[in-house]
Amino acid sequence: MSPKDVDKLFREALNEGQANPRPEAWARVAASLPKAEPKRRTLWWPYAAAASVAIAAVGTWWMQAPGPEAARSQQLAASNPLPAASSQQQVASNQQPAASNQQLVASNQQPAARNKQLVASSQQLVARNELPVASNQLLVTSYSKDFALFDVAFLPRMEADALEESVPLLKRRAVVAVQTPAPEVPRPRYLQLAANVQNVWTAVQEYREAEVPAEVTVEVHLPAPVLQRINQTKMLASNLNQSWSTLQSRRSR
Amino acid sequence: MEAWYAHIQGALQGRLDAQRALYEALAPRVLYTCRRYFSHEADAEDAMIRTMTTMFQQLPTIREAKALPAWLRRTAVNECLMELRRRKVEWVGADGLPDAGSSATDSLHDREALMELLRQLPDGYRTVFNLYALEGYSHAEIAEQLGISEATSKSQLSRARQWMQRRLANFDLQ
Repeated sequence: MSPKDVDKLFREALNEGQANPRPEAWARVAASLPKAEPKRRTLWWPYAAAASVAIAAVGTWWMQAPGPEAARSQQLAASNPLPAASSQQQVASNQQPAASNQQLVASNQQPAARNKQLVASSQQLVARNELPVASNQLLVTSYSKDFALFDVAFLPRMEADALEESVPLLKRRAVVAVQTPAPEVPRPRYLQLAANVQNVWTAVQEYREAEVPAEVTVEVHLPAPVLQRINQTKMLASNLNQSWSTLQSRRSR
Repeated sequence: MEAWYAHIQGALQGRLDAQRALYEALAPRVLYTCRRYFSHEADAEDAMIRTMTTMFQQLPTIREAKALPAWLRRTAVNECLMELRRRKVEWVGADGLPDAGSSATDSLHDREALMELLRQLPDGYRTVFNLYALEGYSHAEIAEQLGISEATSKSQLSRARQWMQRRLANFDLQ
């Protein structure tokens, strides 16, 4: 056998083959295996918390910062504490769209009791706006214990067109969207809210001019914080009226 | 496509079951290669384990699964050579050869008998014979790998062949 034959013999016999390792060998290999990296769970809550804080911060800033509309309302209220019709319209345009979900349900009822006084919680406002002697009665009711009774005099401006549309259809419920103040009304906006209250009377007067039935039930669903703010505004408006009346009386003297 | 291809992805993900399946498919080939370089089973097994460990570490860098067997064989040979270099192989002369007429009772065509015959050679002879006859290395490459001269590589191969020839002649006589 030549040397090359020896090479060929071994090459053909031993070049490829398999030999089963002992079972213990796997344990040694496994001991040095790279361990699987634990799955990194994406932590979503820090991002959610950060987003919530950011939204809350922006919302708070937006709610509390007196915008140009509020500033203009303050100017109007300061220069003319008893707003004229023109200024009322300006204030009406300043109403916030945030509370547009609030609904005013105005339903016409039996025109039985005419010539009754308008129920209004603020007598100052009633006197100032020169209510007709023979007026219809406005009853404010609340059908749900979740919502408090709300004085219609302190509603923001109602759309006159919608009211006129509801007049001929006495048995039909007319749903009128009402823009209410935001739950968090900062102090600088009290004056603006008071101006909105003035604007409500304009709507009420138009309501009478259209000769609507005597009894009109106005159901307003408002959250408690809004009512609280409105009550505060109601007191503020009353104080303003008292001050204005006092000032007028002193001037007249 | 071999069956063990399916376990590569799992082994890359660190799944122990896939790693074991890959080991069980490839380790016998590696151990077979390593056994040609060592006379003791334990040495061959150590080299196999080091090779498989290296494979799992380097698995992400291996682009194609079909290239893995060749890569494993190359790595196994290198592991064996590293161990042999660490042991400082004694390049024996003709006087150090074992008796060619001893042991070996199987037939020539028995692959395991040839394996045993190969493993009876001294480390130096066996290493050069493996690299030249089975791995296809040139003497220059062998000299570079083992840190010896080409003349030493040639003489070691020549003596290994002579011993094999005599041993095979004894086989033929049986």
